[in-house]
Amino acid sequence: MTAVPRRILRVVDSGATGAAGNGIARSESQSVTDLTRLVELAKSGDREAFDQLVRVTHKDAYALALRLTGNSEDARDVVQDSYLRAYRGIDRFRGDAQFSTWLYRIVANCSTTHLSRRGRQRHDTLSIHTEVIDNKPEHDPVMQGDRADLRRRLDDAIRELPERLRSVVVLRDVYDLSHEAIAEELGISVTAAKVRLHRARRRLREQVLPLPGEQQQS
Amino acid sequence: MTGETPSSVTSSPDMAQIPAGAVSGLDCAAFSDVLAETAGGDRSHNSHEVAHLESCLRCRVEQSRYRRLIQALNSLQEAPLPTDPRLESQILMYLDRYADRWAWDAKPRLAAKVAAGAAAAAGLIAFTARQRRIAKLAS
Repeated sequence: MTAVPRRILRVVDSGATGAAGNGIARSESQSVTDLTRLVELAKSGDREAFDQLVRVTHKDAYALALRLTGNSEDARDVVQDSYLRAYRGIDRFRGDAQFSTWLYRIVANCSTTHLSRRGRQRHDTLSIHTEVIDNKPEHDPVMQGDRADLRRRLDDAIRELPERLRSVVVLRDVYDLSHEAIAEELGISVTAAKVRLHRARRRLREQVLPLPGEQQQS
Repeated sequence: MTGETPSSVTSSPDMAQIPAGAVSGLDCAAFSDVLAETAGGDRSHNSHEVAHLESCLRCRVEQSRYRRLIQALNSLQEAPLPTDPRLESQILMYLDRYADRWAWDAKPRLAAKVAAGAAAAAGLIAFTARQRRIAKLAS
């Protein structure tokens, strides 16, 4: 695995009880250290350490599953299966990538398996309230409104994408997985992954940020 | 069709009056694929593409849209979707329920070795018992 996430998991934001119980924001390096220590303990068979990993990471894993499946029920199933698979395979996690990257790959693989098992080409709408939560608000309210609006429209546009395009653009441009990792987890070639990515970007750009003369779909 | 004009366009010239490729004479529709490909920074533009960009206002505007799109996509991970507060306990219960089965499900080789060992032990016991019976009958 070669991808280095542009952002580590939000240990503090995700409400971890042990790792960030006092609610005081801590440095990213310290959070990484916490995760690394938990992973090492879990690899040695410490079930409580793995449970703590679940507490720290499950919101991010669920968000990815929800974006990939477009459905809260499917996302719940995918996340449960993903953690079971992670638990079974934790001794094979070599630590040459971030734990989050490793977990995202498992979630992506489980999502693909789950959706293919269900035989769906999804265009469903989310069954939950989908307004995004901006946990890093800007000081400029106009800027904040613009960004929040863009995110909302982008989330809507992503959900409207066919599943095969949606999974690639979410994994690459939102979760920063490498082309190779995406191709492997989705069971497609790297070339196919890139082609799907470019198509997805083009559709999103046309829908969310159209040029004058292009029709913006509502 | 909302008719909405994104805020980044407000300071741009009226692009609707500039036909695609009018400035450079190149195929801007095809160049759009290049922009989608290079938007994420996986590769940079070659000299031919740079020359087109320098001469084509429409493609420069489209390039800026792609940059904004990628920035927005990157930031989506920072905007978590609402999570069912019961999810954490559901995952842990799921693990409690199924984690005990993991050795046999996840390690078929180990399971096969254990089964083979058990079969070999049973065979050995049966063979030994049979040999003893034969020896007993012979004596």
